[in-house]
Formats: sequence, structure tokens, C-alpha cells
Amino acid sequence: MATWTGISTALSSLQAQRVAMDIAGQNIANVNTPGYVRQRVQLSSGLGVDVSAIQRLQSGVLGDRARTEGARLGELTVTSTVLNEIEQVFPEPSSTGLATKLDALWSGFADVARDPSNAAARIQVVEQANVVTFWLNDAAQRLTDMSTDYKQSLANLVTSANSYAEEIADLNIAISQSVQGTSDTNSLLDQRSYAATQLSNAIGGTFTIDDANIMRVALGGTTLVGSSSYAALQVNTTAGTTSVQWESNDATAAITSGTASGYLDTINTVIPEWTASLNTVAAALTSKVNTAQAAGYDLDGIAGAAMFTGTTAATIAVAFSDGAGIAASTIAPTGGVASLNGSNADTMSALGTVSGGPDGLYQSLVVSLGYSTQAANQSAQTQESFNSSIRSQIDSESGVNIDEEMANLLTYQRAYEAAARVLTAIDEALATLINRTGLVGR
Amino acid sequence: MTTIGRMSSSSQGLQNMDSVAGMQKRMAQLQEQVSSGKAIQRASDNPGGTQSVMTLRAEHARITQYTKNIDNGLLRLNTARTQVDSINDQLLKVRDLVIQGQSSAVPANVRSALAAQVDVLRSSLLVAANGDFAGRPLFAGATSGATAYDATGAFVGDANAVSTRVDDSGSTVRIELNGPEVFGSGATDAFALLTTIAASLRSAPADLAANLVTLDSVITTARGAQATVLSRINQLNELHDVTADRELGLAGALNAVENTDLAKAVMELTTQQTGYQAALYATAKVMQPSLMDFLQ
Repeated sequence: MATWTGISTALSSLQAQRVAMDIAGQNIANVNTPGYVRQRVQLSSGLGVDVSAIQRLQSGVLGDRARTEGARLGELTVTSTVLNEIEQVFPEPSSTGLATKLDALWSGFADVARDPSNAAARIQVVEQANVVTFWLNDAAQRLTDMSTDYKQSLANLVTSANSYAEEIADLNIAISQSVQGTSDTNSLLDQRSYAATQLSNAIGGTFTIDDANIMRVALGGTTLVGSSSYAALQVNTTAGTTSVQWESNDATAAITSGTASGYLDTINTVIPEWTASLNTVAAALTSKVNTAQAAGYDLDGIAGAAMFTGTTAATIAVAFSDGAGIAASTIAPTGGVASLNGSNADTMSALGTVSGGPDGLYQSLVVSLGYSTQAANQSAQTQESFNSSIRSQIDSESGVNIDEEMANLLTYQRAYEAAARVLTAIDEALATLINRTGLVGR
Repeated sequence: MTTIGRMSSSSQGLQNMDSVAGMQKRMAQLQEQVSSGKAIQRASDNPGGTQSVMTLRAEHARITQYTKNIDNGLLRLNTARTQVDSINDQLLKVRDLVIQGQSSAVPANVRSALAAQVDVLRSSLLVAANGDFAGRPLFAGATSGATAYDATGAFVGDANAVSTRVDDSGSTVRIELNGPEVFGSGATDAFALLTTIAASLRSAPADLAANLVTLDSVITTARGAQATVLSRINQLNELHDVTADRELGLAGALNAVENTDLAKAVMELTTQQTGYQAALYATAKVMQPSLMDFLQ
């Protein structure tokens, strides 16, 4: 062994322990940084000690799982949020929902049936009919507004997905140009992994990392992010159908999970579906009441005119404003004199119970919406707890534990002190050798 | 929960936050139930229950209408009964007068006085026949005219029945009597007969015996009307009780589905609060210490 070997050994230890303490410090500093993966110094013995690499403690499998499940959660969360929002449009059971308004309309007809000559009862029916149509118009409008809002949200989401895709492509370049196994590269990997999680939550996709540490992202087989570039996406609405397209060729991009998938489903399927359901209620109201009206005679003895126009929730309106127009009587006028019979108004007062009537349709709408919402909430909740268990697993592998880092810090500090002591010891030994030997007889 | 060997500092915090947030959510739900008094806030809380509530509410609205229909019918029939009673009384008075006038001992001037009384009773009967309920003539069917009988005693109403719905099956009860059902119809109705009787008293007392026979049949008709009114009133009274019972039962059913079981909800809330406090305490205890507290 050469004379100075001991000193360089002690020096290598001092340097290695310093690096290790820096990394512990880095870990502690990032204890709350989202996406941060803890690092560990890999030491190897040679002449003294070497820092062979700075490891990034993350398993690829868990990361992939987290991204896939994150995309699924994104979709389920949107579905559940949307259904809860739609449920707000139909506030049942309460006194502000359509059911109560329809009940009041039918009761109004019963009031007219009791006394067909009562002008106040007649005008009240017309007013109540206006309340019902206003409610339907308003509900339809709110569903349309929701659709518009979600289109805007989708556009924003696609914009941010584009910027995440761009970031991943940029990071691919930076990572390919940097030295593997250093703290700087690790931090680039953290950034890329975080961007990938965000991108996956937004639009799903397939993520692969090759041996050269390049992350590629594909949507339904088409490349979204390559080794150094990305393909931009855009939102398009044609003939009432909204889709996410590739900016390069306007072809539809295959989005099957993530928040974007939830938004697309909301805009193209969910809202139109419940709007159609609401429309059947409006159509039934118009048809049932108008049919009953046509079977009777109004206060002036004229055959009953249509009370409602329009067969969609957005367009339904009350056709007349004069209470005399209510065809309360089933008996044709005799000698030009109208009858004050109230049988037809009585029939109309029972329209709330006829099969295929607006009440029944509305009730099944509310109940099936309730079941759908309940199911969606439960799926989202289950997925959430599943994701949090994956997050825990990742965290248990990659997360920073302050106690552990403090213990590492202590270990490295003590090692540093010990190495320093070694240096001193060698120094003193050499001093003895150099300064004290060969002095006999001096 | 998955078994985890190693805990990171942030995941420890996150897990604690998750469980605390879960408890807060459950507490908020219970608080909403207690403060609003409603067990179902939105359809997704309990879709089946929502259906029951909506059905029961609609039924309640209908029953309220049936109650109103029955009450209205009772008022109308009771008014009719008063009139029919007085009509019967007056017809009996006419009968007395006819019997008085039949006696050959009665001088002509007394007969013509009796005839004058019959005239008065006829007018009074006409007033009763045009009796009204809420501005509508009682015995005129569904006519929009203002009277059932004109000044000459001719029926000007129509024969259309006025009925009211009393249950979901669409059963109806007639809540009026038509003029001819009370006074008879055609040439032998009460008004024509009283005109004839007055004439007989004045100039043809021999016809009075035949008049009396016709009068008796008119009285029978009027009595029949009296019985009909009474039986309809009884029917409506019974329906009133049945409907009131149903309304009460419905309110109970609605209450059971729709309203919060306060005792239960408050108990659950208290349990949740205890759990919540325990979780907070545990979080505070777990999160606080780290190795740093013990390193010098």
C-alpha cells in the first residue's frame, strides 16, 4: 500500500458522505413536492468509497398502474359530477320541482270542475300552466348551459393536455442529453413523470418508456408524444357532435379514458339523453292536455282549443291567456248557450294519473336519474379509494420519510466525522514517521 | 387498506386527511338531515324513497281535491235539502187548503180566499225552486242560465247531471237534484198543478178531488227528492270520513319516508362527532412528533 493511500481513502469517504448528506437534504427539502421521487446514494467500495449512482426509487409498474387508474378516475369523477349537476336541475323531492307544479295544475282543473263559472279558478289554471311551462323551459335552458360550459371545459383541458405533451417531448430531449444516474437527471425524470400523470388524467393514452429512457405516448395507436416532438390536439363540434381531433389532419383522436372522455360523454350522450327524457315529459303534457281540451267546450261553447304548443321542454308554451278557453264542459252548447258542465275539467284534473302522462314520465326520469347518480357516485368513490391505495403504495416506495432521512443524515454525519478522524490519525502517524523517526543521537 | 411496509411523511398526513375528510362528509350529511328535517335531500340519496315521496305527494294533492269536492258537494246538497224541505212543507199546506176547499159547506168567497193563498204558495214555491248555491241555480242542471224556472213556472234548466269526483277510480256522486225530479214534469208538475188548483177553487170545486190525487203524486215526487238528497248527503258524509282517514294514513306514510328520524339521526351524529374528535386527536398525536424532536 502506498504511503498516501490512507489519506485519499479518507478523502473519498469525506466526499461520498458529503454527497449522501446533500441527497438527504434534497429529500427532506422535497418532502411535500408533488411527484417527487426520493433518491438514494449508491455507494461502492473501491479505493476508498465511490458514489456509483444516485438512485431514483420508483418502480415502473406502479407508475403505469397509477396513470391508467388516474385516467379512469378522471372519467368517473366527471360522470359523477355531471349527474349530480343534472340532479340539481330536477330538485326532487321538494316543493320547487316539477312534480309539485303539475299537482297544482291538476288541482286547478279540479277547482274549475267544481265551479266552471268561476273566472278566478279558470285564470288560475292558465297561470299554473305558465308556471309549468316556465319550469320546463328553464330546466331545458340549464341543461343547454351545462353543455356549453362543458364544451368550454373540454377546450381548456385539451389546451392543457397539449402543453403537457409538449413538456414531455421537451423533457425527453433534455433527459436524452443528460447523464443518467445524477441528481439533475432524476429531477428531470420527476418532472416528466408528473407531466405524464397530468396528461394521463386529462386524456388517458398509452405510456411507454424505452431503454434509452424516452417516454412515448400514444392515443389509440397514433403517436401523441415521440422522442422529441408531440402532436397537438383540438376540439371540434360538427353536426352537434363534439370530438377531439388531431390538429394535423382533423382526424378524430381515440380518447377512451381520462377527464376528456368524461367531458365528451357528457356533451355527446349524457346531457342529450336527459334532455330527451325531459322532452318526452313536455310532449306528453302537450298531447294529453290538448287531447282532453279537444274533447270539450269552453266557457263560450266553442270546441276546446289546444292549451299547449310545442313538444320539447325548450319550446313548450301556453297557447291562450284567457281562462274562458279552458274546455271544462263535455256538453255541446244548446241553442247557442254554453253549458256550465264541468266534467271535462274533471277529466283533466285526473290527467296526473293517466298512463303515459307527464307525471309518470317525469317521475321515472327523476328516479332513474337518482339511480344513475347513485351508481356513478359509488363507482367514483370506489375508484378513488383504489387510486389512493395505489398512491399509498407508490408513496411507500417513493415518498420521503423525514425520520428516515434524519437517521440517514445522522449516519452520514457520523461517517463523515469518522473519516475526518481517520484523516487526523493518518496525519498524526505520518507526522510521527516524518518528524520523530531517525532522530537517534541527534 | 393495503399493507404498507414503509410510510412516507406526506402519505401519513394524506391518509389521516382522507379519513378525517370522510368523517366530515358523513357528518355534513347527517347535519343536513337534522337541520332540514328531510331524510331525502336529493333523488340519489334514496331513489326508491324519492319515488314513494313523489307518488305519495301526488296522491295527497288528489285527496285534498276529493276532500274539497266532497265538502263542496255537502254544502250544495245541504242547501238543496233546506229548499226541498220547505217545498215539501208548502205542498202539504196546499193539500190542507185543497181539503178545506173540497167541503161543500165552504162559501165561494172563502174558496177564493183559499185560491189566493194557493197563489201565494205557488210564488213562494217558485222562489224556492230558483234557490241558488254560490250564484248558480240549484235545480237547473248544468245550464248557464240564471234560473231553473221562469216566471210562468216553466222549467228552463237542462237535464245534465252535476257530479263530483270522489276517488282515484273516477267514481262520482251527483251533488244536485234536477227541477223535474223535485217538482214533477210537464203538465202535471207542481207549478201547473197549483195554477189548476187555484182555478178549481175559484170556479170548479168539483175538480178538486181529482186535483188532490194529482197533488198527492206531486207530493210523493217531492218526498222522494227529499229522501234522495238525504241519502246523497249520507253517502258524502261517509266518503268524507273515508277520505279523511286516507289523508291521515297518507300523511303518516309520507312522514315515514320523507322526514328524518330525528332520534336516530341525532344519535348517529353524536357517534360520528365522537369518531371525528378521536380521529383529529389521533392525527394531532401522530403528525406532531418526528425524529427531530428527539435529536439534540
